[in-house]
Amino acid sequence: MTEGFHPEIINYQTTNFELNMIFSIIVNSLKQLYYCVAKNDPFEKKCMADYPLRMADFDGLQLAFQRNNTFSNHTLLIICLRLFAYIYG
Amino acid sequence: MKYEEDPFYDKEYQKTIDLLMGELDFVTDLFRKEKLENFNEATFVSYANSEVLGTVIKLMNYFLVIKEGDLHKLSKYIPKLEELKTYLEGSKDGVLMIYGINIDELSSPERKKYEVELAQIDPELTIKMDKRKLIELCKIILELCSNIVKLKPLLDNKRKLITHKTSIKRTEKINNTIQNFSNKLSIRRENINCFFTKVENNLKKTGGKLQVTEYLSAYYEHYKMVKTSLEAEKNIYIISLKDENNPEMMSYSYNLCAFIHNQLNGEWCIDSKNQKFTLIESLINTLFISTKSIQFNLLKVIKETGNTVPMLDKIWIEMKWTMSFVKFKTTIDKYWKEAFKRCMILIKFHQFLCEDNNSSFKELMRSHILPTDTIDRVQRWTTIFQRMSDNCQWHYNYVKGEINDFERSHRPYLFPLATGVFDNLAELCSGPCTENQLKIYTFIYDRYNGFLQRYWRDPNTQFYKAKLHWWSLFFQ
Repeated sequence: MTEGFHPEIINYQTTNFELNMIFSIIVNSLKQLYYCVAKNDPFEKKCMADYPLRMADFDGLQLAFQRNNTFSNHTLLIICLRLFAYIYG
Repeated sequence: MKYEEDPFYDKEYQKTIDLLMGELDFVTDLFRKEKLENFNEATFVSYANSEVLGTVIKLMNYFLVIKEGDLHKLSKYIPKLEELKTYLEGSKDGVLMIYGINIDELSSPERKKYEVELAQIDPELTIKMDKRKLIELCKIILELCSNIVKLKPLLDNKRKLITHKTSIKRTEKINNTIQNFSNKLSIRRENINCFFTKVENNLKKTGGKLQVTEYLSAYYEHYKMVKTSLEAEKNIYIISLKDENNPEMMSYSYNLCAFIHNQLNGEWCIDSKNQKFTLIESLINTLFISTKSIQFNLLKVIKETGNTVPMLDKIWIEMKWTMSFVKFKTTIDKYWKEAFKRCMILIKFHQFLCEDNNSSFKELMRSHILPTDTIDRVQRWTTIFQRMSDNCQWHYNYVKGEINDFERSHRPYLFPLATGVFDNLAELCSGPCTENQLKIYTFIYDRYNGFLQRYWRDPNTQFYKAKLHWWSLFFQ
């Protein structure tokens, strides 16, 4: 939909999608991926907020990305990358 | 058949063989008049098989008990025996016609062995040659007759079913010709036309309209063009459709499209649905590999029908019904699975029509409104997702940031359908196709927002795949 950059469409999109929503989707998807695939957590808590993601986890994430094939090819990671590319691209 | 004297008298064999051939002629004539006169099948079978061919067998057996001393008496009958053999194997209107068989079907390893043995004898050894020839000829005739008498003569109704003139048999025969691919391109091109030689001959004779459907359907069945498979790229007939610069291949591709279009344009009654879905699958298969040429020709065929698009309308209506069935059926059984598969096929079909940024089909989707509908197909795809999401509660009834478990009402097995819908929308809008984008950019943001912010406990759920495809649609 953003292809072609029609001003009307871009305007409508930016007002109807909150930028925060995109950030929260990136973070939450990464959290779920990290806990479920890298840490093998049963993922039984009720809220995404119960699963914190800190700078200390960065190494774990990087390691999982490098060594775990399921992690690096997971749909959740592709969502994160797509959205990240959209925001910074 | 009556003989004035004993036929098995050693000087009269020539006469006997002539009499037998005359009798076989009589039997053939009688069979041809089957429709005109009072024809009793049982009597005819008994006479032709037991009396006439039985006598030939008896005679051949008599020849085969030959002794060295009698050889000089019998060697003069060799030309006559050859004549009988040629007569039996002979023309299309001969004895074999009665039984509806081809001489090739009667060839056996035994017979080939006789022929090889005969060819290996040194022609200078006349006596040995004569003896061998006599024995082999008799054995061949004996084998031929004993094979024939096992069969019943073919009456008209049965002949139609198994004759070599049926499309399938004809196709098989020509297929065998084509199997022996020549290295020369010109010969290969000629071979491709083999399938239509009969049709071309008919056209010349009658000057009438071509009735190609049955030949084509046999042809497509035969080449397994109706099945989607990863092997399709290896199918020379599908891959050759890719060649857009070759007028011959383009006309072949046009034929294929016209055939499938006409078939799908007919009534979608329950009996013929399997066939229709196979054809759509075939079309998807060819669209997937030779996208542009098939799209071009299919559009050409569709436009020839005028301003309406009955084929696309029928497929759309079928998709709507199948989708409703899949959405609302509460138990997942084999019928549901079958319907689900069909639904995915129809969704893929729509997607492949617009593949490779085909603006003509995108315009067709935008401009044609279904007879019973008020909005066009592009907008309809958004409402399809809207209804699906509403019915399955994908975008509401949850707290933001909450991790949910699937419940019965969520119907997680429908996520692949949502993925298919997003793929279709993405295909319709990409390019960029601003006209289509403007059609749908204001719709159902509440559903999208709710859908995107939802998280399920299972990280491998198809929901995330659908979500990814949604992002592909919006941020492509």
